[in-house]
Amino acid sequence: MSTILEFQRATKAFRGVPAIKNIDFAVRQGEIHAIVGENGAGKSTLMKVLAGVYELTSGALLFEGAPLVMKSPADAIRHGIAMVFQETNLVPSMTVAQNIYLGEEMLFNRLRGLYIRAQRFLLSLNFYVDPMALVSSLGAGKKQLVEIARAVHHHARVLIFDEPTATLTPEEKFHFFNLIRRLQRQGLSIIFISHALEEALTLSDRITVLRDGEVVATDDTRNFDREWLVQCMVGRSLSTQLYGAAGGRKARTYGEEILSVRNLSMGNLVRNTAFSIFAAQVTGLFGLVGAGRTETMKIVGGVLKRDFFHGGEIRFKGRPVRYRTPRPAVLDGIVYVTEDRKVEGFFESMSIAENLQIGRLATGTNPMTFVTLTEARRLAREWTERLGLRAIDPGARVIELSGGNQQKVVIAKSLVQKPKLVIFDEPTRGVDVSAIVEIHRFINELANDGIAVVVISSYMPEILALSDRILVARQGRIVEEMDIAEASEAKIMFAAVH
Amino acid sequence: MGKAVVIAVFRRAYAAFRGFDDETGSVPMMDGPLRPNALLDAMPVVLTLPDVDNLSAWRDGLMCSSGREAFRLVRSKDSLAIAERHVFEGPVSCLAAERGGGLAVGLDGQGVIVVEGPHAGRKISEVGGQPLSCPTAALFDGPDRLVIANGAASVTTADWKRDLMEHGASGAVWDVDLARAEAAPALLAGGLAFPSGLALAPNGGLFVSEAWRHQIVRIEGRIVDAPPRALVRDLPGYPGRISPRRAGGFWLAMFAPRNQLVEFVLREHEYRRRMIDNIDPAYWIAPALSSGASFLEPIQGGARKKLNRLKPWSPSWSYGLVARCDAAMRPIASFHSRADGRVHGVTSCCELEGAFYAAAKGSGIVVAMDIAGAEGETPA
Repeated sequence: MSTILEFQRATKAFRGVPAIKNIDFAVRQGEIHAIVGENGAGKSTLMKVLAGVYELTSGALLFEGAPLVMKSPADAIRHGIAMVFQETNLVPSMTVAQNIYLGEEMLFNRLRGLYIRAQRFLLSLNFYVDPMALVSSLGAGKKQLVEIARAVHHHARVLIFDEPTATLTPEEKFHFFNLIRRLQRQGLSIIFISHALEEALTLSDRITVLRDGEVVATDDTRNFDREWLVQCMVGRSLSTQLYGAAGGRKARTYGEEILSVRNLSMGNLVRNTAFSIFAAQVTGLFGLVGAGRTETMKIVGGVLKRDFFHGGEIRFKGRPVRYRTPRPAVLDGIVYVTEDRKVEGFFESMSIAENLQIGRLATGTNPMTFVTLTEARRLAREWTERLGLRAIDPGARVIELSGGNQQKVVIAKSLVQKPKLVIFDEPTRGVDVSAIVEIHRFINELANDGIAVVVISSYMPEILALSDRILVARQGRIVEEMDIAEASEAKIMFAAVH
Repeated sequence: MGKAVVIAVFRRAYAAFRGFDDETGSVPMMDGPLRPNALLDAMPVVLTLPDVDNLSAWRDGLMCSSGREAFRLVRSKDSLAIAERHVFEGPVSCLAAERGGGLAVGLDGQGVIVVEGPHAGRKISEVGGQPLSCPTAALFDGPDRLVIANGAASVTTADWKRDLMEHGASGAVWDVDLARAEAAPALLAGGLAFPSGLALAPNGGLFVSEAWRHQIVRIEGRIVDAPPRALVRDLPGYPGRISPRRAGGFWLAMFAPRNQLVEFVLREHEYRRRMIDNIDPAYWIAPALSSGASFLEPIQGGARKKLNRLKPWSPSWSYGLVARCDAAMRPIASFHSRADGRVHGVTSCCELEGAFYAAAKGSGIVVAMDIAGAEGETPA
């Protein structure tokens, strides 16, 4: 196979600090090339250079043997390079169809024709998304599908996927993998960034491992196995640290019943569900996308409102509560750590210290109180150390951090509120293996300190590794509860789909 | 009528605004440490005795009662054997055993008699000028002090369903100084909704299970000004007797399950009044210690319409449930016998020589298991 794309000694530096350095990397025509590495390893930077978002500081990018300089993403699209970003970059106030055809508007647009075209196109991809739906009304999984559809629509010759399957259900993943293979058969080259190593191992033809901005290994996939891949990524064996603890583990003892939810209902998304949450335990909440897990917990945290009549009851520490906004929930000690960090998790143009300070303001601090910058920085320093946050400099804006470190900021921003119940929604989504270990350790520490922790995750090994008790949601209600000692992937999945 | 409707509308609107679940009267689900299992059914039967009740450890064996009789039980290989039998003048409603050998027996409708120990022969038949007609539980706090729970002021223990259906809250806990014959029983707490179990709290005071309010309260000894403080609220069953665990903490027997239908009937005053007036208590819509024995039991072939479809539905009237609690009476594990089980209506349980025993009055059996199994098991 001929080489379609090649980086030669490519370096990209931010404020003099190289995010990637001296990268030699080639993509062949019609191959699926997986790129793996910890967060902060430089994967996203490398791909953003390829997508025209960044320009190289030094080195060269060759496209079909000729040097290529791209000034903008539009340049990349013109050359047939399209990227599906890790965090969706759709316009929330536009419909699905308008997002797919964004930038191709004519002087007079006929919306009906646009919707019909989009409907046909989405169906051809086996994506069941309403083209007339506003993107803001879609869940994370469906937003991802629209993002993929938009990239496929651009007739790209090189398609770059950054964590494409993180939010997809098993069925959606199955369709997605079929789509990838179909595109490969059509001669497209696909670059695939994923933290799900099994996906990289099963789907790709070749794998490149990045660590600290450098290429550590590039080889045919058949020459890798999971253990070797992880070792290449982190320079040490982490697989047992990550998910090895699952199975036959003894659960923590039940603490006080801190949250009792009864007959909770919200439209068709949460339907008469009931469960309890106990202190000093990690309660895992598993379910497929659309099972109502996030919505249920958002109601608990005051982000969403339950039905006014027949909406059920929530008791926090024995007291009936109805939160209409998150602030009273935060004041009571309930925090919800969002799954969509980019939109709901932080203020991207602010520094870590400013984000943490905003988190602390929600805890009822007198608005007239004068907060010194020194105090805010001290708080940021404390949490930076506690969570092992790595930033280029202490004043760095959150947008300049890697995905894992951004997630740590979101967690820290919630935990400065000194909660009694913490709800983590997909806490390690789009986070590298090293950060996963740190986040898992931190979640366990919270439970050991007597805090009630809920972890919503679509990744079964994570649920099994973290939880003392597992709740399974299906079609808007909790349908199964199991102790970690008796839980298995098969049992959980059976409950989630039957 | 119109006034009642208007008040109900405002009550519901206020409940919806504040977030109470006023309409459905929901029963807490059995989850977490109270998650259903079949561990009670898995325990071997060590004694079969109709209406077995009041299981308690005394001297080197166990005591239990059945109707007017009390029995001393001894271990015999893998079962229990009756070593002594005593007959009393009325049905035995509670037993209190003391480490030093004291034994007190509560007789339904008659009071409590001390039958063994230094105060043998002492009879307490009145408390606060009222007859002690419903002695549901008693315990010795030292050789000279007896604490008695009087479930209700005007009904007997056998008539417990009536007290529930009449929203009874006339129960009380009394402290009797056995050393001074002239001393009147002292009221520790009144206005309780069927106190049915007693235990000494680790740091002084008493734990009392208040069955009709589905909660465990703490009474601070003789401090009259300190009202009972609820420790564990909203249990999914009716809590009964409490027994200490050797390893710390307590066993709590819950003699019947709560269900939506009973909660509904408890809110429907006119329906309930007519049910009480016209129907045999055995067939009331009320919790029971055992069920399934008669075709006259309510809603055996019940159904309900949901989403325009008729679905078979029949609540379980009886159940078997024992909770293992920590020192603060918080359930940390549980042992169940579900709707199809054979260990229903567990009214008492206790430990003896490394074994755990539970007496199922509804099923008329005593089941047992090694404490190591009970402690090591994490059924919840």
